[in-house]
Amino acid sequence: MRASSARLRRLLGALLLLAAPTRAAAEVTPGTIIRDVWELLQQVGGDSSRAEPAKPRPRIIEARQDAVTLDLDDVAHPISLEQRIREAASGPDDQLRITVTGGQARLGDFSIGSDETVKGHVLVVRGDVTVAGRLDGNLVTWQGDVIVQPGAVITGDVLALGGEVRTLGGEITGAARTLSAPLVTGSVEAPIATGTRIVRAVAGVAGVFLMLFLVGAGLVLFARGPLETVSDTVRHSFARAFVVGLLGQVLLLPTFGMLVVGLVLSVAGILLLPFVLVVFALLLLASVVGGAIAMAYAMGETLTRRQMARGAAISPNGFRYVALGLGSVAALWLVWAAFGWVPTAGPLMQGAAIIVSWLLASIGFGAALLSRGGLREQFAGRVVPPEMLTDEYLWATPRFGVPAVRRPDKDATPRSGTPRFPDRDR
Amino acid sequence: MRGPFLLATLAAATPAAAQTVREFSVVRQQQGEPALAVQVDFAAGSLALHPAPAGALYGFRLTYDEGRFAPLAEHGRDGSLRLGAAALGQGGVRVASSRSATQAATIALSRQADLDLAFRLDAVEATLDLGGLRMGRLHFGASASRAALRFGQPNPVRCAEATFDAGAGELTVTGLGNARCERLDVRGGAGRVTLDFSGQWSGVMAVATEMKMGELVLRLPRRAGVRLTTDTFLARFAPAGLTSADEGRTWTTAGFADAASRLEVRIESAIGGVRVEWID
Repeated sequence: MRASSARLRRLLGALLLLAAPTRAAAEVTPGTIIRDVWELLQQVGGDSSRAEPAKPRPRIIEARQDAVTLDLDDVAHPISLEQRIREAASGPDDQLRITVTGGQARLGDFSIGSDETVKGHVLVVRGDVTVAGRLDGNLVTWQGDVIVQPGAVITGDVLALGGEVRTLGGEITGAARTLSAPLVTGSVEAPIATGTRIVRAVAGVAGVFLMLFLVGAGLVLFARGPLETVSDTVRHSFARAFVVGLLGQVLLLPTFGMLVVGLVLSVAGILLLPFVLVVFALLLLASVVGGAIAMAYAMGETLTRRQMARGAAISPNGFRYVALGLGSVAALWLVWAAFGWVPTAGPLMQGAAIIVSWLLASIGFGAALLSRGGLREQFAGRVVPPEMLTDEYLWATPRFGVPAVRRPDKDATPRSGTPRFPDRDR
Repeated sequence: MRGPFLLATLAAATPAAAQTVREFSVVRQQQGEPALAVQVDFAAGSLALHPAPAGALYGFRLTYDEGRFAPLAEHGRDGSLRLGAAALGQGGVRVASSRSATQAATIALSRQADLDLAFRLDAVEATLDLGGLRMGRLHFGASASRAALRFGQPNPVRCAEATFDAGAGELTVTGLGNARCERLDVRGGAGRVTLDFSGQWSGVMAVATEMKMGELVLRLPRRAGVRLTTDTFLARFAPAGLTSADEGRTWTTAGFADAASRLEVRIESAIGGVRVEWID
């Protein structure tokens, strides 16, 4: 309590000093005041994050039978050495048992005087080392600094784990290494509650499908003919559209590569390259998105007709088809959005939604390719192509069935050419 | 009813992983070592190199992501020195993310020791000041880096060879006259390579460049005699200030034969462009 009141007094004093008109008015800005106050708060109050733990009382760590043995001959690999030292020095200070092969282990601050010579490796745990004399060996500190004074000689390597090496002079014949303590950085995000996660996922799914519906509504309004053609192609050439969609995905990159190489090799085509790249990307986007919406349109139309067949009084229109089709796919994603956080089941739901969406998009893409973006109507089953027509369709249909089972007898044919049908004539 | 739901909600909430950054440094004082063969391997982040203060053989400071990299600092008795950051894991496809941007390395090298330098960089933003180093050989290889090499001061010794492999990145080398290299090999991929031949010129430098799709910019000193031999496929070549006597294959400056310092450049380029700029 007394310490906190003293700290408060010092803080108030500092603020009063700050408020005194010692600085020119032009220099004082809100930013400098905030900075100065913050610095003062840190100086007066102390920064608890930088507060150093109390150092242990210096002593040599006794080597016993049950001590952990550390070899400091090679300190060139600080990470593995740090791990071994951390394990050995993890216990309370009074229970440390460490043996250094060919050297000594110490706890707390340690110094080698200018008239002293220490032979062998030295490990210092939780303490600083000041070297003014001579050390014949490697020096390692764990959570402590190394200060090399002028005139000091260290005939080996120096390693400061969680500390610094400050060379004020002297000579280190080996290498001086430091490895800082781990510093956790980056944005450590607050844990996201499951409810928040669900709301975010549902909002994401709703946003994507709302956007697709708006695009679909635009297509219904302004490109209904091609949209219906692609949709009819999906229904009439379902398997074919899927196969073509798959092949289209496989051949996409090779086609693109050939296009680019062809343009480059044609020299003059190099100029067209940027334009072609943009057009290719736009066509691809239109095929994929348009195909997917046409697929949804086909699904919606089928569902609507089934409802009407059951007697439902609903109006069949393009907007309804698109909304119903997209809603069916969105339902899958909404299930994932609601239960995606469940271990194992969540990823399975996501996988199922991805696969189904990919299948539908592939069929739509294939239908868009088959029908050339809805401009070619053969695959839609709407128009019978001329080559499919034969004069067979022009034959007159007999009024009483087809008497092909029996040819008329040669003898029964009158000279006038009119065939006779014995069964009927009888 | 609300209790179990809240409990399940808290249990399902998991914190995002944070990045653990560490700092490693190593310094070695000069103990009369005559030479050092330095190999720098660095996968991602920023790298700076500059001459070390007098009395130091080398210094290396690395700030790295402990979860993805480990410091590399090996000094062999044969005078070899390997510095950098080794990627953790057993190979495979390594994707550099924005988290790698926190990784940074600084290297300082002695001006007293003869140096053979080799750099192998991946996705690195490198600034290398090689001025004043006793560089006998240089190999610079990068895959997707943006690198700026500068020879601000003359090389005290002759450099036998310098090779640059720019990959798909951007490479700028300035003060090549100070490098004092007899041979210079430059290979470019899809990026831009700028070679600035300013500096204190002496003798003859033979330069061979092989560009695939990128652009090559040559900044040539007016006082040096320059001869360019070109072999281009679809590359644009702007031979400003040069004349050709053999239908555009060889280009020379006036007085090339009598020039005290000469630069002979062979250019092979497939697609891209070659631009010549003059510097005083």
